[in-house]
Amino acid sequence: MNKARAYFSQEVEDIKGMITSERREQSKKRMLLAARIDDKVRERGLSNQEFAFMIGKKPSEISKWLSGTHNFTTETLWEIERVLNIQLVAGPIPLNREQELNEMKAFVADEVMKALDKYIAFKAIIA
Amino acid sequence: MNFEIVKLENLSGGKANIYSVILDDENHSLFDKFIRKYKIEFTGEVIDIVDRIDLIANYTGAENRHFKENEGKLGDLVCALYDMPDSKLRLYCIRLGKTVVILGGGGFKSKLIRALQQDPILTQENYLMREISERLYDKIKQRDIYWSENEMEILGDLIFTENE
Repeated sequence: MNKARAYFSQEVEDIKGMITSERREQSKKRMLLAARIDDKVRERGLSNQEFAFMIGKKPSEISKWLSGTHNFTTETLWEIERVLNIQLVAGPIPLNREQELNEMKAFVADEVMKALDKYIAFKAIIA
Repeated sequence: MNFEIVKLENLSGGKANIYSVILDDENHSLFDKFIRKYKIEFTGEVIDIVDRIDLIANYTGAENRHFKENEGKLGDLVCALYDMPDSKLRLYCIRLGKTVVILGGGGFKSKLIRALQQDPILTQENYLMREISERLYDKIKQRDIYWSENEMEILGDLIFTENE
């Protein structure tokens, strides 16, 4: 069993060092979004041509979308959502997790205090 | 033409292994030469190409939607990495399923050109990949090159000499 010779490319390493985290994040999101759409198209049993027909685009446009190189407009994503019956664009922006937890803790503490007050008042009545 | 298929260890990942080709007695791979040739004039595009190949290797696998197929002879698996909008560089490769990509070279593709044969550099790079693909196919057919058990790598005789 001969494996291919491992080759370390300094050229690749130098270029990788030039990829900013913002750029990487954008490319990753673009490619994963394309993967999600492609998965749904296949899950629905559609060919690219059929999907193109349903959404009123040329098949070459669909290939571009699914390649992970395309910057979608929100309108296009809404249209894809409608045709494939999926959600791609987030709804109202959720609170961040920490804020959500703090609000939950405050709510629980408030409810406990209310219950305690009621209990104290009840004890006072029956005493 | 003598050549060797080598694995680019700093570009391969858990979803796909990325290979390139070293010709004859050269020290650098075809992909290295491509980067070296175009990194000054088309810096952003070269960064984008490396970035996307790295994402393919680590996150998505080499799905055929990332590649423009049929860039070589009918059925020879020579393809090109899908261009970014407004990009001018074309990179040729050979895709073997979702887990193996062999990177070649490429060049500047003017929007005025419709067929690669109109550009001598693209023609040369493309025909080189066609030849590599043909000889690779022969070895796969002879079972001199085969898949690893986990189907992530190609194994076997990856050194190609004229008198085989």
